[in-house]
This record gives sequence, structure tokens and C-alpha cells, in this order.
Amino acid sequence: MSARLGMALLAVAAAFALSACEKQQTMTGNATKGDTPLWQAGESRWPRADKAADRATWERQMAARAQYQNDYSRSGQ
Amino acid sequence: MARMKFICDAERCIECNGCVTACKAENEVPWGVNRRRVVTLNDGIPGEKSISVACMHCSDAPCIAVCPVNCIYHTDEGVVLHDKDTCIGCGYCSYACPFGAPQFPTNGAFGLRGKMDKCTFCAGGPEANGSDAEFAKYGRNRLSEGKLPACAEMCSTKALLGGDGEVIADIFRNRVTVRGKGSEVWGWGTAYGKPTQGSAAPAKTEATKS
Repeated sequence: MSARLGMALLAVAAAFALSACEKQQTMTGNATKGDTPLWQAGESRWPRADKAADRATWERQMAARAQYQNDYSRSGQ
Repeated sequence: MARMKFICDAERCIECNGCVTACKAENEVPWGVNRRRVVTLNDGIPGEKSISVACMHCSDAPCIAVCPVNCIYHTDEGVVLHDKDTCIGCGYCSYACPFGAPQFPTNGAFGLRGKMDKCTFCAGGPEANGSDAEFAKYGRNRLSEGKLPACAEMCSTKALLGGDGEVIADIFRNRVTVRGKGSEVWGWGTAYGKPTQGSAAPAKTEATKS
């Protein structure tokens, strides 16, 4: 009888201890410094390829630049 | 928003190490650190394959997961960067990374305080874009200039592709379709074995799916 009671108490304790595992855990806070968006111009010693500092222009420039790697499009195949 | 990725086409890589040289020159990486390396499989045997390896800027990066001071982070474009001012140089990221990307510098401007060093996708670090402080710690920030990483842009055979993952995947897919082979080097067969190697693998027809 006491063994059965002990088992029941153990099950209740285990259920209580594991109840926190049901919750979704997300990390809050960030120790890193906020990074400047890449499309924002800095005082670089090198010239910008896109000649602008807005997000849309930057994204267009990056897409065009990526296509320069496609030699099939350059050769027209 | 673009997710920046690298792909190396092993059918094209000629092991010239131009990407390694470009990276070192562009970012003034000191002696003892190679942010990018060329790995050759079956070296010396006819049919050997080479791939250029650096940080793959994982979407679910193990280095970020293990960093005890939370100094490694994703930019909005999916580039994995780290903050050398916060880094304590414990080396956990080096052990966690399957590509050996984070490394310990031993001397020079990058290693004076024992910080880890890794490929930045030529996107610098947390300092102001293009600033001297950023260049001294992380190298050049080409992305903020509207340019792609130096290693990919100067690759002579265009084996190494860098940029928006969807764009370069399209380029690679087109190549594989045109030449009719090549996806198996990076694809399912490499990771999980070809159908003939595994008993549980289903029979597949000739395909170029990566």
C-alpha cells in the first residue's frame, strides 16, 4: 500500500517537474551590439557599387551582381 | 529579404586557391588564419574533386547555439557575424562548426586579444559600415558597398557562387540541367548514400535533384 502511494506521489512530482517543458522557450535579450543594416552607407574608403543608400537599390544591385556569376546568361545559352 | 549563401560547384573547381588568396588579400587576414580553404577529395586520383569551404552561414548555426556570451548573430540577410568585443575566445564555436570556420588567430591585428576569427561573407561586423574600426577587426564590408564576397566574385571558373540563396541555387540548378550531372556531389547521394549503397533507399530514376 505504501509502495503504491509512493509511486503515485512520484508520478505527481514528475508531472509537476516536467510541466515547464511544455512551454515554448524563447531566448530574450541579446548581448551583441545592434548591427547597422548592410544597405546603409558608411564612410567607406571604397566606392559603393550601387551609388545609393536605400534598401531597394541595394537589393537590386545585389541581385544583379549575383547574376554576373551566371555565365549561361552572359553567353546567352 | 535575401538569404546569403555560398555554393561551390565541385565539377568546376580547379583547386587554384584564388578564392583563398582573394579572401586573405581583401580582408587582410593575418598569417595563421585562412577564412576559406580548398579541400580536395581523392587527391591525386583521376576524377578528384575540390571544393572551396568557409563559413556556410547556416540558417540554424551551431556556433550561435553554443556561444556562451551570445556574440555570434545573424544579420537580416542571414549572414553569420560575430562581435569581437564580446567574444571571450573560448573556442566552443570552433568545435561546434562542422566546416571548421571559426579559427583562433595567434598573432597580428586579429589576434591581439585572442578573439575568434571567421568568414564574414565580406559583411564586416557590428561597427559602422565601412569604418576603419570595422576593417581592422573584421576586414572589408563589401556587402555594404553593394558588392558580393571577393572569393566568389573573383572565382575564375565561377565554381564558387555567393549571394542570395535563391539566385545562386537557380544558377547552379541551370548548370546541372545543362550538363546533366553534378548535383550528386553536393546533393542527396553525398549526404545519405547512393541508392546502391543503402538497403533502405528507394529506387530512383536519373534525376538532378539536389
